[in-house]
Amino acid sequence: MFRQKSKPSSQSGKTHNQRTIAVASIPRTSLIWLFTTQALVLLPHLLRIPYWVGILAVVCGCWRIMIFNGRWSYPARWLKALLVIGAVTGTFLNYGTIVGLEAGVVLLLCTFLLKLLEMKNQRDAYLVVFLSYFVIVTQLLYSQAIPSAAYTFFTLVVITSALVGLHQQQGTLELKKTLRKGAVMMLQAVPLMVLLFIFIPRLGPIWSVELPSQKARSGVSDQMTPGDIAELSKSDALAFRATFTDTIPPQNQLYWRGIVLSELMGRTWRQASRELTLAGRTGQDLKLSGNPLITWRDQFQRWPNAVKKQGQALNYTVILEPTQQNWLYALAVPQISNVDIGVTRDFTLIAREPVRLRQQYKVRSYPSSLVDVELPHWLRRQNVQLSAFGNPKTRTFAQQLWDDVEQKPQLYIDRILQYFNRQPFYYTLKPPTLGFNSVDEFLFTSRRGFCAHYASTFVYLMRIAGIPARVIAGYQGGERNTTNNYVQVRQFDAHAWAEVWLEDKGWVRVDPTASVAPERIQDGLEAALAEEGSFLEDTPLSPIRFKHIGWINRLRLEWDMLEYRWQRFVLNYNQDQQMEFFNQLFGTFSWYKLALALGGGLGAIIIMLGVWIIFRRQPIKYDPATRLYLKFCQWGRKQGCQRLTGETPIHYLQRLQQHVPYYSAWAQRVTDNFVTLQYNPDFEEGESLYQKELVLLKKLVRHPVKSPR
Amino acid sequence: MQQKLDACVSSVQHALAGKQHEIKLALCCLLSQGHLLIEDLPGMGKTTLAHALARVLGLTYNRVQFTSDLLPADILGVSIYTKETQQFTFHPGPIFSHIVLADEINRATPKSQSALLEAMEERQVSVEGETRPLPEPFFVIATQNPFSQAGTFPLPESQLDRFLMRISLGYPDPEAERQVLLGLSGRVKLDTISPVLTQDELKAFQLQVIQVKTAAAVLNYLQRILAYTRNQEDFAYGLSPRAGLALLRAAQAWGLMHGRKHVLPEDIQAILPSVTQHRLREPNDHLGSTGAALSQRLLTAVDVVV
Repeated sequence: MFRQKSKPSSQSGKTHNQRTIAVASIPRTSLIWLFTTQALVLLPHLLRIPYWVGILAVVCGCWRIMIFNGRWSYPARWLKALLVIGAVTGTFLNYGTIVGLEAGVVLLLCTFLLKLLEMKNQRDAYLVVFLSYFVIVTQLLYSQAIPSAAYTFFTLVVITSALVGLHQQQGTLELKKTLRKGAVMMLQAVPLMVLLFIFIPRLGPIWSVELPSQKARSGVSDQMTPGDIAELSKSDALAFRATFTDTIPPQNQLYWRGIVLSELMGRTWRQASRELTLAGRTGQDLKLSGNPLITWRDQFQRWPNAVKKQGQALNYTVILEPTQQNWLYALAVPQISNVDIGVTRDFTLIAREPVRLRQQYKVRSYPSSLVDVELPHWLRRQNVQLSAFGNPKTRTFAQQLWDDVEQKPQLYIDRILQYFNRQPFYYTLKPPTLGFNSVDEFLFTSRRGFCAHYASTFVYLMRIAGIPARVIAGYQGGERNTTNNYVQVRQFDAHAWAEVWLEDKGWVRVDPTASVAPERIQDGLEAALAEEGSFLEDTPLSPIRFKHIGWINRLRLEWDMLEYRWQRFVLNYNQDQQMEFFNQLFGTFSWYKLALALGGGLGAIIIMLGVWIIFRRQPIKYDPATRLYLKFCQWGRKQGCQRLTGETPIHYLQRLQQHVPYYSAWAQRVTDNFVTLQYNPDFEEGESLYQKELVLLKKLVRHPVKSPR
Repeated sequence: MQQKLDACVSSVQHALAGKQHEIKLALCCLLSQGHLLIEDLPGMGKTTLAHALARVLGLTYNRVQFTSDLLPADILGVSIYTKETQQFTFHPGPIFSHIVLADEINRATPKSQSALLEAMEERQVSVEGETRPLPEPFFVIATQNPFSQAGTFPLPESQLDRFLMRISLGYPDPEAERQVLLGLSGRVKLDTISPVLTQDELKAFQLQVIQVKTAAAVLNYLQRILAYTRNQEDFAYGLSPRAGLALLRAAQAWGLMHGRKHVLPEDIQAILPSVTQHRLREPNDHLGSTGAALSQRLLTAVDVVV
């Protein structure tokens, strides 16, 4: 990629040659094509690249035009060298390197632009066109969504047209024709492209390179301070999609567990395991393999007594958007058969490496299983841990309540949920900031909060009573697409809830938010915030805000569907899927069969294209008057009076007039007009007289006029 | 102009009632400077038509009865030694007139037939080394009996091609026949026909025919017809370029006769059967009796518009 950089300096020899050899200069048409190509190639990068590249583009373009007009000459060698050095320096200043991916793209763009200033003959123009093919692909490094793929395809058409344009005679300016030719060439290549896409053995993702711009984390973070999730809820970005093989469970059962937070430090909840916490924070590949709290094999064998499998299993596939974090999301008690995904002792999923690309994984969950009916001592200690200080009011309140219910945990839980429900607690995205004794303040004074507030306060109250409890962060609910059996979970579906350990029941999920705002669980965030109106208030144009307008919502859902399919069948078409497809196709896989299929397919496509090119019938082109007259004949046929082969317009008219006497006058006018246009040599095509009659005929044919005989 | 041509037709109709279309075709043939072949049984009015045409156009008229012992000299003329001048003087044959009726042409030997046909094509006669031009306009109306009759020499295709049109008169309808029977029509009326056109006017009309315009769409149609005869298996051979030109000329004349300055597809369709039927035959038909059916097929099988 960076070899291009050295190009300008190596060209000095060629300029020398040019004095002796007459070379074809670049015609005007080609220049238009080259400019268009460059603009199109540059456009998708425009917001990502440093502003000076844009300036460079304008300067190079203007200079080129001046050269073409003969006002300026080509830049001197020292100036070119200066520009190259400037571009390299600028890149270095912007990115601190010239070898990273983004820096590489910028350098490539710069050399691509500078080439404009030394394009002297046809050969240089070819070079620019070929370089365009290369540069346009770089934009797929940043986005592989449908729009960017479509844009790439369109640009490829333009680049191919530019190539066609370079071969045209000088002075022809048939842009439309050239573009059509380019498009036809591209379309002819599509079957080949599809075949190669399906059959060429897939390697691991080539662009598994981390782009700095993607580094921003998204999703649930590794620790939680009440208020964090409220930030997340302002985004309508997609978190993941889950496709169920059977029916989707009811909305209030969709608790997508991400991380388990059992350690409270001040106001912040953290994961108990230090490795996990670190993994989330640095994004580095830590030694997760040796961790005793993670198993990469079957969890039911690893911890045989922890889970008592019960009830029906749910099978589903999740496509997770990149999060740059290790944890994955799944419904309770997941089982997974994927060597790169492990299960923690808290029965959450964890990937070996941070999710840098969209990742697809299949999960089987047993939602009604009992977990940790016999709670290990160390786990109990971890989940009752509480600092001895702070929140005195809460402590007295809890103690009193605990005594009131005669220390029965289930009753205690019910009483607390009742308290949340009966006292004026509010569910809001804009909770007030709390001070040192935050639980006290929340519970007795402000009483306004988001799910994280309720979950953490609930767990706090549990732990005061000595009941093991922990906060779970993840997502709840999602948008259901019942026709295609999938759930789309967005960032604003982020949620926090609690799990409480009860005798004989193990870990039980309790969602205190449901007591305050039951609609959050049933109908999602939008319904819960309906009164406050703060749902996605920072993104006024988010299509999700327009859910209530029927057609916009339908359009949005259709688009989601399309993106999902694109994601699932095109972008996620990896080695595994390819193998699966091959096995379906050939029974067993062998390289010999693959080569045969590939070769056979290629041959078939080439033969088919060849046959098409040789035998395609040129569409018969009628002159405009005949076209209109044939339309008139079609009308006649619909009336049940078809013009016979060999019947002259006048004979046909006579027959038609008898058949539909009411249209007699109109048919007469049409026929007269046509006969005049067609057979009177005084009306020559293209002349004004002819055009006038033609317009009249057009009007006549369009509107059959009924008139009394 | 159109009235004059109409007047010609109606004048001829005095002598040949009920045959308006055939009379018009004959006139059209004359205007296009072609020759006419009438194929019919004896006594259908062939001679009457030829004679009436000659009279109405103010032209000289001769008739040659073709028999098996007819010699070329009987048609072209012969030089005879004159005692007084002691020289050979040429005595022109019946061919030296504007309209020549060659009656029962298929009864003569090929040698005599070709003498006539050469004169028709060249519009001049070479006798004893001297070339003598034929009068202008020169129009041959040949008649022949259907081939089923014995003792005939059918004209070969190459000779047939020299006739612009072949028509047949057919039996008159009852009304017209009654007129003949009553003596109100027919040869008896020939003497009452007076010339409508002068020779100069006729020449002018013949020139105008060539100037009738033909639009590209009409030429396309014409060429489609030619191509059709050449591509279909049912045709022993296609129409020659001369036949194409004949079609065009006749259509132009037909258009002119109907007062137009340009050709319509209808004009082509009107003259198409007469112009093509003697030039076409099916591969296994050696008598040439299928031409009429084939030319009718051209009318229905070749599209006019596209």
